[in-house]
Amino acid sequence: MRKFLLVLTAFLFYAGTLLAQKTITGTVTDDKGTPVPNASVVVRGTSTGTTTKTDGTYTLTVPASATTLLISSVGYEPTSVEIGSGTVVNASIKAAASELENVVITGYTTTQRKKFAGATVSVGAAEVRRQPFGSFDQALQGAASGVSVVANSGQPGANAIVRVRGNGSISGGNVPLYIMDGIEITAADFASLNQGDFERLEVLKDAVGTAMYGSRGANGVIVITTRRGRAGQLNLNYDMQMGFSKLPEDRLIVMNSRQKIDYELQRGNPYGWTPAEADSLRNVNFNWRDALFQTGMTQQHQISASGGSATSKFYASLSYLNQEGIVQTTGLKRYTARVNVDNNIKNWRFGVSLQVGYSKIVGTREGDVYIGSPLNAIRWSNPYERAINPNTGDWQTLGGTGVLTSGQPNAAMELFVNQREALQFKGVGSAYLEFHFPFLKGLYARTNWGGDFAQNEGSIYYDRTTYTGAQAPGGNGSLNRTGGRQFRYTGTTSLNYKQTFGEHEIDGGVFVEAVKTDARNLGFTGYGLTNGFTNEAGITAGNATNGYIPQVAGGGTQNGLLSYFTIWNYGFKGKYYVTLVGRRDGSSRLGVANRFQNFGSVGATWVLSEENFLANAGKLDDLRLRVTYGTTGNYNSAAGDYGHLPQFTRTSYNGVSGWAIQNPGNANYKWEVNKTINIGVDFAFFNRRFSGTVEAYERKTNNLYYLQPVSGTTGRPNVPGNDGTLSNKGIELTLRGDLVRTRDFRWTVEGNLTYNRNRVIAIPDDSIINGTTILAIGKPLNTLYLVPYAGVNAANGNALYYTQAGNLTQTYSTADLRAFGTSDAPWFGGISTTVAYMGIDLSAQVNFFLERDVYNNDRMNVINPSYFYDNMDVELLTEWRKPGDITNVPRPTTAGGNAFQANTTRLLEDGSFWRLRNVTLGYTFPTSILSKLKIRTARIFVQGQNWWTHTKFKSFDPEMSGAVLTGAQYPALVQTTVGLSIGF
Amino acid sequence: MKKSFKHIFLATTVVSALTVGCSKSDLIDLYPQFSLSAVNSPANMDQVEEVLTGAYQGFRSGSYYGDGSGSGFSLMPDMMSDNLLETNESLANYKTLTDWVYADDDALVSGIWSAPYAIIANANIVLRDVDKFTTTENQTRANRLKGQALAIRAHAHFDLFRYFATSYDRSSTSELAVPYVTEFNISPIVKPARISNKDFYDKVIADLNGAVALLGNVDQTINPLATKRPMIDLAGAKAMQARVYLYAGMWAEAIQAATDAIALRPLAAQANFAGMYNETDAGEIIWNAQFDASQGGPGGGVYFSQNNRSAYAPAAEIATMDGTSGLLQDNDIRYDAYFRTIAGPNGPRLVVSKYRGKAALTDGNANFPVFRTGEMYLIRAEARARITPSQETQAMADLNALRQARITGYVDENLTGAALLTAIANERRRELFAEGHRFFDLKRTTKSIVRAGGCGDPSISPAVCTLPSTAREWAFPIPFDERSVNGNIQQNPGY
Repeated sequence: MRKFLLVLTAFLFYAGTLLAQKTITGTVTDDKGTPVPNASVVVRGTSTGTTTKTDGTYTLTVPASATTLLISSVGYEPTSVEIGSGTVVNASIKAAASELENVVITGYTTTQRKKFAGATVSVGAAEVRRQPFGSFDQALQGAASGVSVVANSGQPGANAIVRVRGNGSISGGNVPLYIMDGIEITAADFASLNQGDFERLEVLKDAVGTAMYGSRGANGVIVITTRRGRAGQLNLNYDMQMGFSKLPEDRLIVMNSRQKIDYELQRGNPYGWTPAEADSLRNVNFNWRDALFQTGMTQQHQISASGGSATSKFYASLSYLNQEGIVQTTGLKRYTARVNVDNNIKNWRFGVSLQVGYSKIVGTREGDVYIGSPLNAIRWSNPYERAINPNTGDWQTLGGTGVLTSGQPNAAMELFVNQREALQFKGVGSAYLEFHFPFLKGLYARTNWGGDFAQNEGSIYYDRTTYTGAQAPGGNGSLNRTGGRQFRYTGTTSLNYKQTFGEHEIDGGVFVEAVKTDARNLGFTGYGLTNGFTNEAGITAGNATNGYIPQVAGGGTQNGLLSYFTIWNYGFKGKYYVTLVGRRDGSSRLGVANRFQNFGSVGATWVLSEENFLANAGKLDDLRLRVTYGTTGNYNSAAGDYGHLPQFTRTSYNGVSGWAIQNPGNANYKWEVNKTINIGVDFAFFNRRFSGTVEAYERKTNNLYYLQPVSGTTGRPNVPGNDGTLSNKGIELTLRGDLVRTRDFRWTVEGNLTYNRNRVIAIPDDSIINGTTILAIGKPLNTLYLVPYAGVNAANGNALYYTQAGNLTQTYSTADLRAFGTSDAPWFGGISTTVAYMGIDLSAQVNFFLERDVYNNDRMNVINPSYFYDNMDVELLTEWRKPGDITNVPRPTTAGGNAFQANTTRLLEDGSFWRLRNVTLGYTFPTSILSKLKIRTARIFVQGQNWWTHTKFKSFDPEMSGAVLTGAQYPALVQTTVGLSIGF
Repeated sequence: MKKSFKHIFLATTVVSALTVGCSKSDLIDLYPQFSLSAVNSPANMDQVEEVLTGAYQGFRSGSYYGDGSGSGFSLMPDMMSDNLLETNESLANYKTLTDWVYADDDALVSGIWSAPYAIIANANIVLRDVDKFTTTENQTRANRLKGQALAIRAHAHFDLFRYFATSYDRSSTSELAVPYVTEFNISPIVKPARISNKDFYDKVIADLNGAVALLGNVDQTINPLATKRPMIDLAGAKAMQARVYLYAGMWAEAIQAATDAIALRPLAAQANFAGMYNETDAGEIIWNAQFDASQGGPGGGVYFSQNNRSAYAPAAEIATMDGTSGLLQDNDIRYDAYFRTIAGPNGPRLVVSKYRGKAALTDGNANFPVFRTGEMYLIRAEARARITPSQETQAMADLNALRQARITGYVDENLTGAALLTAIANERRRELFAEGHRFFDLKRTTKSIVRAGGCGDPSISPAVCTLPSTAREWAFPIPFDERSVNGNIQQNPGY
């Protein structure tokens, strides 16, 4: 009965409104004029509404009293239109991309960009999402000024080396802080994260942004926000990519069989080939590169859904990535799932973000000079030897287990018979609770807690038939298993206030934060794998007779950070803004008396274009001047978690446990502090068709974490200390222009350029040499320090060098070492362009790193004449042989003061490069077609990574970090994929 | 308003609960769980003994007796001499040393400089703290620890001296030795200068005298096992004295110390000789650096048995495959104990197999005999031949006794004068082959190195073949790294 009454009342109410109403129609389009389907059209102040059809049109019956329609759609800025007296009401809504661009998400606060004084760059998440990298940081290259991103390895899942505004520490960490949904995640450990879930990436570069992170902010902060649901219709998306990757061009050329045999004979026939043997070997020409590399296949699938109501929103996704490496057997497989939920009840807001990922990497050794690394073998293995014995079909071995004539391992066995796997389970989750106090508008309390958990498992199997397996104790292979877990929680609790009083705006909060990391690892190596099993079942129990006594290992560490801080923004008249940050951090990593340190920053923005004197400045839409100054600390101390404490490490001798001095400690160990000043100008002209930003900064690091070298007579190489000053000064320029902007055709060009000048200002001992580099006052970090090579004395074939005075000498002397350039390119940037016509879009991005010097140790290993038992650089064919020979390659013999010297500029190379990082050609299907198929959106595209590279660097790939290309390089992939995105 | 207070109260409670949940002690006051703080340790005699163990462990360093960074004091002195020649199986890792082309930035030299000092640092911690925990009850235990620490300190310093000093002259006040470190202090302010040979010998001899005095009265047998002698006992300290006195030219003292060592540890019987190299019989070992399972061994740089890589082969004047020519022939038990003919990629060749593994294993896990009684006989023989007035008869008797113990069917010889000294030098080459002596013996007696027996043949060794006795390379350069932080240290002439 009651139910009946309710229905009746509703009917009566409805009937009442029925009396005065009219029907209106219209089309909702975006700012380009494209119809927007599924947009919500609601009469303001009522629940009367509808959604647009696939052609963007709607029909709605509205009460006569209705004056305004509210139009909204996922991905667009909500807007309102007057209904007026007519019956056709068209509306245009702007893409929300501009909304996203207009705020800065710092992880603690969200501020309108125009009010924020700090230097930040927002990286287009769409670009990052699209590129099929196993580690998302690889996709950041060239995308943001001031951010240097160098892929150090092409191994699927390998992270890039990311630096924000140069290296700020000599011995401490230079890795930026990564924050995901408010919690710290482990840097450079991204193989189990799915970038398809990213909504946006913000890079905080100067003190106003980074000082909020106090002691963790010195190296810049990369803030990742994952995708959240929006109120409205449920969206379901499917994204797919498939493609292949190939080996880049190799610029280091080694000899072929004929060349190598002839070279050996000329050098005295070390293997004693008979003429018949030599003839036969000359024709072998086995290509080790082809034997070890492949065209790798990649596929990626993601299903995501989002939606919700005004009070409850969600985003969820599932993804799968399978990327084969270009080295056979290697690759990455990844599975992830994510759920983000946000709720809103009365004065409460709460939500949860949770991602779990599982990845499996099959890898190979890289970045070393070990003969057991297959990637070295493509350079070193003699071209007249084969991976497989053509007569038996078995692996080729000659003269020992798993080795060839030269004593080098058969690299194909190392790669195919041995196994190397890394498994990771990673969970990143956070939850927040927010309460808005009802008695004071704008006051709310918020707490955000989350954890980053990783469980790693490693397995390295060496088969007893291989070179490496034969080396194991007992000589019958080994199985190394490792396990580790790391858990870090981040908890932030704050009381915030945001209010406008007339011309004054105030926004800020007080915060308490706790971060703690706890890591443990364990492992064992078992021996005697004789029964055919490659797992634990293969291990034979050890005794003194068989030599299979297993090894066990384990360790662990903890560190913590406790912080109190406050952040305030103040604005006046919409023209003047000030940001203040104050923070007090305590860290477990420093000396007991120095654990707490204050950090802070101040920033101001002046919106000049709002001033009266620029009111008539013609085409100028926006002009802002920003100035900031502040301090940040470096949490990544040089000496590890307990570096302030002198410690003994466990050791053993003769079966008895002992302690050996390990860390000398330093009770006065204190914070490394950065002081950064930044001046920025933002401008936009011609209806914002041209816009840009110029930033100039100086970042000065004081109290450098410095592992100060001490006399070897003390028993240790160095002590942790804080001494010295390092400076990074630079200019960053970002420009963007819509060269053509018509309804059907759009051409956009964007570019960014960074110049960073790194200099050591002060260090305790000037001119400390570390291998091929020097740390000297007035020079940048990673400055190469070598003796200038001056060619060959035509009379006797000796190598020549320049002395300090510039004279030629045949005597190599460390007194003639000189400083050259640095491997940290001072100039870098990216240029990208997009052309869109109707549904077709074409974009390209070119990145560059200039004035970069690198020492090529990989080449050293094929030009050192001592190594002529293995394959050599073709350059050695032009070796000096007789008086009068004009060549750049000295005679191979050492007698008479002609020892091969590695630390010379003969191996110094220009590591600058230009690279076509990405090209994408896409087609978005028009809604007129899709609507018949009941599909909301559909897009197909083909893209390529690293299709073109220009460099003089003699290697597979100029992209590597550090001053030295050590060897065993896993080059970056040259990748081509086709993709499909469908939304329902 | 009442409601507002309720909310503020609620908010305060929530915030404080969350903050207290992670107190300062949880977050900031953290201590290592996998290493021992050295602030208050060693805190007792047990920990002092554990630090002594830590000092011994340093001898396994790849720059000291272990393999991987030059085997500085085990095999490098043979690789740098005329005993071993580099082969075409070499990876050329040690070429800068074995071709004598090192400059002061050589990484191997740098490692050989720092490895002994790392051992000395731990020994100095023992010596700093042992007296603190010594009582009348544990006096003999304290003697055992302190005596070993003194011996280790003297021995490691003396090994440095052998490479880095330009002269072994006992009494020179102008020739430079190396800094003698007696205090544990890791700090940038430590910048020691080199001291004179005379001062250096004084300190080595004083430490060894201290060690001998203490190790004569200890609480337990230092080396109780019949298969190995990994710790320095009284015989070890005496043997160290004998070697130092030989280099110093203090013949009478050398004779006495060697005699004492021989009395404590007689020569091994022929049947027990080979067992010293595969840990089946301690034989006449006085002190061996111990390498346990998975800790490697000294010999990999010369013969890497796991992969059958013979990077340095015995010179033909030492031994050959047929065992009928060269200094060591097949009638000598040392031939079978030291060498083996094994097929390689280019056919069979003679390899240095003495460190290829324990018992029947060939995984390269072997101990290094730092002192054996054979060396004591040779030290005493040389000292007796060189002392004034000379004791050539006794010297010849020592040589004959040693040869009787090694060579089947040996007939005593009777040599005098230069012939006797040459015979002793050749016997050192035989007896101490690949045990870290030859380069120093040539340096000590101011000889040139002339590599014969295949040197210059590219299929055997492309190496440099001669080093004149006047060359600067007889003394290593003080490493660049050291000179850049220690302005007081003097470089050797010629670098």
